[in-house]
Amino acid sequence: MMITRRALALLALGTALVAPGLAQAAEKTIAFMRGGPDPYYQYGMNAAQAAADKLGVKLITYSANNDPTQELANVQDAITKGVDGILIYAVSLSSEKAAIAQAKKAGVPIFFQYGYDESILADSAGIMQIDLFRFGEPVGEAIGKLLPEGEYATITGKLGRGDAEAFAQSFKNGMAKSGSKAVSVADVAADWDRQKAMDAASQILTAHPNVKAIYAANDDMAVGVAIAIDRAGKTGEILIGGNNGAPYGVELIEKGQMTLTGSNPPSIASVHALRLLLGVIDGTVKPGQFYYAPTQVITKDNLADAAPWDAKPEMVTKWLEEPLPQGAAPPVPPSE
Amino acid sequence: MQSETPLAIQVQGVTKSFLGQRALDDIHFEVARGEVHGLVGKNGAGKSTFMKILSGAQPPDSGDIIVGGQAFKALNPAEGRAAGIAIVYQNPELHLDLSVAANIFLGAEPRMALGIIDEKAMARQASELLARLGLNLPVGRRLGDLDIADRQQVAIAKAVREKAHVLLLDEPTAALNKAQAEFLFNLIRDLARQGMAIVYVSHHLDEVLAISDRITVLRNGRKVALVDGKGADKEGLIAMIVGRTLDAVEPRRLDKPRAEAFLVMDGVSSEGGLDRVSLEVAKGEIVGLTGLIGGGANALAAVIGGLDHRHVSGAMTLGGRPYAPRAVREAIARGVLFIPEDMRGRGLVMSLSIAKNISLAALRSLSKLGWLKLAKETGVATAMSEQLDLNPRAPSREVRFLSGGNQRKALLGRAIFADGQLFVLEEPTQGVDVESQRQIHDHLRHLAAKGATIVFVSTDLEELIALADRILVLRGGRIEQSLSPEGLDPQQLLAAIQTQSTRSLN
Amino acid sequence: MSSPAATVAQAIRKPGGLRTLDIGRYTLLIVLLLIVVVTAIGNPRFLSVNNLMNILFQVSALGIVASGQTILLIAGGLDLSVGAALSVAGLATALTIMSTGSVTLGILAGVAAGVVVGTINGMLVATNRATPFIITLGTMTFLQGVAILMSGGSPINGTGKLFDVFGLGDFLGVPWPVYAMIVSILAMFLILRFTTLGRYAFAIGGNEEAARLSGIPVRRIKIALYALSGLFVGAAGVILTGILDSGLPSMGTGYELRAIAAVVIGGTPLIGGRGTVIGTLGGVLLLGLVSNSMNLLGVGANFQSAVLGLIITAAVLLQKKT
Repeated sequence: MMITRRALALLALGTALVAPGLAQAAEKTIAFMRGGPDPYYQYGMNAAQAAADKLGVKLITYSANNDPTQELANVQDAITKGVDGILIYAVSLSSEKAAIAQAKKAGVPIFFQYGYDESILADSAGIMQIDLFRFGEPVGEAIGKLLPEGEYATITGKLGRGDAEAFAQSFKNGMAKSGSKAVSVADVAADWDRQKAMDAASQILTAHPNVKAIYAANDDMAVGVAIAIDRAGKTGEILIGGNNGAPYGVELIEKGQMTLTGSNPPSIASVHALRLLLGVIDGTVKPGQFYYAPTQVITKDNLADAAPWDAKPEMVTKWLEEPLPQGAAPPVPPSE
Repeated sequence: MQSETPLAIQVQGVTKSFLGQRALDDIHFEVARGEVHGLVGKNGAGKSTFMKILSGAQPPDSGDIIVGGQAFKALNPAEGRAAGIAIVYQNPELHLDLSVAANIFLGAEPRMALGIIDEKAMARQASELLARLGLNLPVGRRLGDLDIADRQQVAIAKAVREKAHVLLLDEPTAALNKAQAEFLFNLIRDLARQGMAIVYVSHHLDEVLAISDRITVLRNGRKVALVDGKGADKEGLIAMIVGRTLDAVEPRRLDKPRAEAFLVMDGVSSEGGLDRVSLEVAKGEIVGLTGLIGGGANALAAVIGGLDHRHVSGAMTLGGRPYAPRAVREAIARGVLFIPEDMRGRGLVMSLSIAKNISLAALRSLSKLGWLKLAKETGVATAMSEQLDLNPRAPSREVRFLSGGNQRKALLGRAIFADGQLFVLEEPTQGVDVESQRQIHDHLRHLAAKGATIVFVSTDLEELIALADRILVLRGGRIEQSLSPEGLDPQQLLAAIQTQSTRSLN
Repeated sequence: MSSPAATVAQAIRKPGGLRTLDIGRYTLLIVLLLIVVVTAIGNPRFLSVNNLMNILFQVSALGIVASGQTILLIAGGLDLSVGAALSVAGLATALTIMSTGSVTLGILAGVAAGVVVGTINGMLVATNRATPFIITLGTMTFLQGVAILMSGGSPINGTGKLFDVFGLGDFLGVPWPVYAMIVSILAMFLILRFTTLGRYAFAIGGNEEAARLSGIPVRRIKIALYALSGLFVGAAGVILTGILDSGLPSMGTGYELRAIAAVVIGGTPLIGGRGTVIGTLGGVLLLGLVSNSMNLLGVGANFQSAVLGLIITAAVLLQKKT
């Protein structure tokens, strides 16, 4: 009994360690790091993988599981492994200083997607991100046009990284910009989570029966909101504005259960980021530049043309032929 | 039917070792049908190992067990049951949330169509079975609502229902009062008359002598004697158990306590049930407290030991100074050490060594600014082990590996090392063998002779008479009688404990 | 006398108590060696001094938190709030440095935050109104909220000299956080072995009622132990803030579970009464090694969590039972 259990445990251990270790290094190796198990990173990773395959580059993937310490460890380990460059969706850019210092010492370029910190721009291979401070703004403008007056609510993600706060605020800014006189009656953080957003939306609908629009800072939460509205029997009566353009959000728009979403597909962004990083390694792209990630408001009317998260191989091929994004001035917070 | 051999169970050359040490060495043992066979020995003599092998809970290293004409190298519990061997522990392993009938028929319930349990038939059959055994138990009652004695009877009834023809009883009277024990003996005799073979394991030699046809004595894993129950006497049995002569009746202490009062209680009442108790205990005196459960003996010990300190009224002085502990540690600071009956649950820290258990209540004297003097601790523990005859003399050994008697000694060692002036003990020798019991009593007498005061709670009549200078019988939270053990015999003491209060209620 | 038989009879009651002890003591070492050998074969750079230092650097904050958690588990306690407390301590450090510009004050603030949180946990646990699990689950959630309030939701950036020392600095080629971890483990080793506080922790964890009846001030000791663990958490918060050059409300994410896992892998049972901080160090190294090993062997991100879980489970199953 004892012996069998011990043997089984050892066997599992051995298999777990040996099996994935058999891969051999290709000519150029890039480390792709994601912040956590979020689908957003996963689609970005898939597109980067497809692009890497087409370019003959080997991609090794890492996850920080939303832990900044683990992320730093991943960077160190990738350097030890001898990668040529690092492409990273950081848990928090502001905590990357030690990683950048190490990467710099080892001469490994490190390209960041998402989040921006001016203090690290110069030492990075480049930073690509959306305009955080205005991400919700086009969504707000579009919803504002549909809701000249009345009550609305915002549901945002996990507080603490800065983005969740900025999204909700920029949505409100967009509402104001559109000339709408609608007032916000509730602001809730639902941690980017569908279930929590559903619960939050139910509570909002109960507490504020006259709410006519709800903004969800990502489409995952927007799905939760749509379910809550459906359960309250109010489908079609309440506008839903999402952000990200995720597949399930797009699907809801197609079905008419969601109004619109402000999309920033990770697929095309990752493909371009990978190309930029390879350019830096080859010396054809100047390091330390800022790039805006592509964004677009998706409604029922422009669905067919929008770039999806889940990129087909032929799309990746097309993106690889597009001109490289150009460096730009980093975003600044809207003046109060 | 079973085989025609008069032997119900036969054991030939059973040997069992643990870690190279012999726990049982070439044991030959037999019980005839209809025989009550006593099995005695000190703690650690091999009794419990032997019982485990008989019941199939552990396999022997070598030897044969022959049951019902069939030889086994090793029994497993299921085979043991199938062969008709049943074991009943002092706290029977039954299901407290099931009814009496359901416990008796567990796994063999009478069924109706579709496999539904026929509750009516089960209750009826259970009643019949209990009536046949002369037992009067409510078959529908939840077992958890019955007391230990009744539960034991249910376990025995279950064994009879399973057609067991060998019944192993392990310390069956440990938790029973006199009347309950008497009832059990009658039941055992009845079962024996009906042809059941019974193995009776107990520390209570009087009981074993009274009920056994034959008695096997184990010592250090060996069978040292097989004696006839009628011809044996207690003195001889003790000699065989301990391997040397011990007086059958324990000698009382010769020195007398001093006159000066040490603990004085004046009209003390407590939430725990004391009712205006006044008491003076002299320095060097040994006072035994007894009574029925809930009578107040334990409540008195708890107040003196500082365990029960909520809503205690009245006045106490210790060594002439006011004494009102609000926590156990305040009592300890005054030299009052409480030693609980439940040493595993409340006394010893099983994961720690002997030395660390001994030093636990007085670490302050072994440390400086919070830093322990480990070498000194080992020295102290070694000396204490020597003084108390603690076996083995290995202070770094974890206490859980000690026998019950040695664990009690370690607990006593802790109190002594904590500079105890007044020792408050509950059932100081419960569950320990005769020799260890004598040793613990001697240590207590020795402490008293050196000026320590001892107050102990006991339900063991012999212990009270042998150890105490004065026996206090408590009832309803009050001291009902004060008896001198001089010339007192156990029957008189029992009578005093059992008597209804003579006081009127007002 | 009955000594051998008595001893044996006692040993029987704890099946396997003696037999598996010695094997069990070395299983963790064997697992660690196995991982080292397999990884070294898969990627020779694994054994480079640089990488070994990286591993120690990567687990340093965890090692400090787990050292503190060790004495709590030995005393039969548990603190689930250490991750959130780590964030609070880190934010206290970063905020203090930001507002005063003084690194010294920042360190004091972080350590003090850890001690205060630990003391409060200890006082709540000492009431015996609920299990430490439930109580610290509550404080964990509370402290997560406090961390968000303190940070206003955004990272607090810039720790100046703290980053120069803990993020970049080393002494004789060994990063400073590694020294901090070694000091923590050594300190806990001394406390457990040579102080009355350590002894009381073992006694309370082994049998709380026996400890009380031995005159040990159980409530006060519990508070002291949680405060002590809080001190370690505060120190870890300061160091992690230096490593990350920022205070983040999410910086302690998952530390509570990894710290408890490291302690348990190290042979301290959840029921308390026994345990060693050296074992905890082994558990911490195992967690760090596995992660580093998978990265060096190129195990994909999607496999890592499952493999890590498998190895933790295997390591615990291989432990001795007591």
